[in-house]
Amino acid sequence: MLTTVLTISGLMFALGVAGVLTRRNIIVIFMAIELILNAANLNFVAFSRYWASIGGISPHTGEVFAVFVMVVAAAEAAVGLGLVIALYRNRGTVSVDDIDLLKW
Amino acid sequence: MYPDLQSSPWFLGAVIAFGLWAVATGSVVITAQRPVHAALALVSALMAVAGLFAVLGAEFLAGAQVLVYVGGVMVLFVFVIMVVGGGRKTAEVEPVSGVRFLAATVVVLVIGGSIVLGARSAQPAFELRPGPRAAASKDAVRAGVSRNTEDVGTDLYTRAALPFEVASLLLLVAIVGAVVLAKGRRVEQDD
Repeated sequence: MLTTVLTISGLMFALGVAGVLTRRNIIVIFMAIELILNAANLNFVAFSRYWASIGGISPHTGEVFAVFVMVVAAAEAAVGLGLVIALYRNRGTVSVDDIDLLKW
Repeated sequence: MYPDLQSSPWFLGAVIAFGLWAVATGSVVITAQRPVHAALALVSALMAVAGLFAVLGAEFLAGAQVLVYVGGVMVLFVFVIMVVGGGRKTAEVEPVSGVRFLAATVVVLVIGGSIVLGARSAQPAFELRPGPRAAASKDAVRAGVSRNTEDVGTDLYTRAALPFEVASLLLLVAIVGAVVLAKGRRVEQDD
């Protein structure tokens, strides 16, 4: 069962990375980042459950980690979407093809 | 937790079903043409992940996932899509006649059904038992009620107390940062 959950998590992570790499709308890129963070959370919970099933001490450590990942994801979404709004106000676009000022 | 669940076919079947749901809607997230569709697919994928959390015995995280992600972060996403303007085409008010009534019926049936079923199956949990905490929690386990929230909360407030406070500080900074970034400089724009 651990491998099943890890496979799902790996697939979600791969989807997230593919989204970050292929999409050009910065909002959709943020959504793909949320997919990646959820895949990480899934791994934490799966290993927490596995650790509990083999009788390890303090089996909820992975879930506590997942709570903190969730906090960071919420903060990242708030600041990132604030950036998107500021960017849209100044440049009038949310396509990363048009926002290449810092590209070499 | 429930070690007997782990080997049951129900457990594996639920994990696979939620996993397929998450992966399918996750692939819609990165392939949808319009950001609104991607956001709705992401809501579905996050719900599937919440289901996986619940199946894996992390009930607190499942609830937090629905509240924080679906109720908070995704609303923020949809608001930003509304402000920025996601799609090239203008959306029809009602693409298919009667689709709103169908959607409302499905939502009422699913949510109402789960409330009724949950209230019926969780009946023993609401019995208030006086006595020491250990005995009460043992009774709760016997009644099929998880102590997951209590355990995670205990860990959060004891072993992870310092990271917990740091996380609250991080959230405060993020709120201030988001307000400052989204507010803009109206004075300079008026010049």
